[in-house]
Amino acid sequence: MAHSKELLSSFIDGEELSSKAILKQLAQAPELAQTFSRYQTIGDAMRDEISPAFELNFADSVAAAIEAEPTIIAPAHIAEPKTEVAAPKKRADVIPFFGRLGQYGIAASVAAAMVIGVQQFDVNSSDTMQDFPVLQTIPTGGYASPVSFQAPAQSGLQQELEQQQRIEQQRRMNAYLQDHLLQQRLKSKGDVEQPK
Amino acid sequence: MQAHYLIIGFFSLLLSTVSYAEKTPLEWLTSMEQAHQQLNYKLPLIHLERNHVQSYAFEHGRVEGQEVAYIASLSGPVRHSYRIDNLVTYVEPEIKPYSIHASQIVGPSPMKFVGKLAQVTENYSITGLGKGRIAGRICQLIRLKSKDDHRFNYILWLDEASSLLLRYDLFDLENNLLEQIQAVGLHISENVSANLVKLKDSTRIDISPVVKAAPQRWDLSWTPPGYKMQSRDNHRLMVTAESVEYLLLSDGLSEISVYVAQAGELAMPKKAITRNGIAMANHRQGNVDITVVGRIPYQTALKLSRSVIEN
Repeated sequence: MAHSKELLSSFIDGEELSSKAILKQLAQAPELAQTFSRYQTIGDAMRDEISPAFELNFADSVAAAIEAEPTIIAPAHIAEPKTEVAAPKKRADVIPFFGRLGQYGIAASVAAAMVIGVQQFDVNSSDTMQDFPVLQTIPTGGYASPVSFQAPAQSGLQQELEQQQRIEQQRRMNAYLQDHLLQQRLKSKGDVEQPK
Repeated sequence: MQAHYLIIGFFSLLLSTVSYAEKTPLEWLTSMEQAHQQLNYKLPLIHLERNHVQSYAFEHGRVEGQEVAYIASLSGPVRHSYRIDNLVTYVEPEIKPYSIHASQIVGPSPMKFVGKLAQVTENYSITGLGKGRIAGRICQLIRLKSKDDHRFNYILWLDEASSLLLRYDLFDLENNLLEQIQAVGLHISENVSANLVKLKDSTRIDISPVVKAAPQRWDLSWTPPGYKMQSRDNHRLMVTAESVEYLLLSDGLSEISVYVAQAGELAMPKKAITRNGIAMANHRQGNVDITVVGRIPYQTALKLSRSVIEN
């Protein structure tokens, strides 16, 4: 597997390899295919060419995550008695908003609308580089190159772990950014003075 | 020949003295508010952020005493929103249209500053910058310069003839342009458009969230001057389903979200700024993660994240 990933990485980096061999390997190992797609996405993000397809997938994955979510949306406060959690009708009365449309449907649409802004972390300003661990493009070596697994095996593993952590961090940061945008919409105030 | 120029110069000086010299920048803003709420107009515009351009059609009018504002994106997926008095409806692909009680459509809009004059004068010093031209029309430029370092600065372009806002620029504290809307035309008419009349009679599903009073464990020991608490609740983030205690602050033109959540496995980076100027400050305090998000200077977000105290 580690060898396959190395091949894959080199292939994405544009090195001379038989694409046929890679495709055959991809077809045989679904997890490798996933890795392929992830590497490609990371590469695209680093080259700043996140494609519309990626954005669409992103919205899809938000929708999918929503689908998988339990329907309890308003988190029960710790102090609340358990009985209320078990009474869905009452909850619906308290927050009819969730019952009628579902916050998450709207959230996904806000995310789709805002994804361009959200994805664009400024990774180009070198002075604040260490502040932006999000899909960082410049490896410690100091030259720009897509993530690759040319390094010795154990550090490759470490690098993959770090990459995973970065992706997880970015996902969490994006969740906060999207929620901020959503809350602005949901909680903007009706305080315009109407002319007399 | 020279005499000619002198005469023209004299007349234009006289004209500008008569019609505009009396109007202060603040008076310009007041007449902008009135114009935006009372006129029937169409205003195609372009919205710019770093690496992002979108064109919109904006319309406003009064239908049987009710105010109707409408904005539609002109490229990409069909999205539009409209406001009828204080109910905003969002129409977006793949979900049912929904409405929320609000004074404004959230997003780029030439009406961004309408109804905000009290807060604007409290937080900004207002100066005239002279004249410019946009959408083929002469404009008065008004600068909103923050009185402190807790918000970003604007330059507004108001149509000299109608007082309508035709352009605004948002700059960060280093004077980098973060956002701009710019009209590419302006059509003012006596009668309201058929589109707005139709919208006024459309059915709307009001889903305004009822904010449930929940016990709050956390509070703020400091808020940046000019920002007021607009909302607070406990909710869950989409994507990660994290439970958060939430505070929303606003100075009228920008919003700040403050989150307190159970500390996650991985601490988030202390600082992140999106290319369109949204700052995020993360701070771990004991067993909670504090996150502050807003289109505000990072230092303000940072200070706010350190001002969360347990009740």
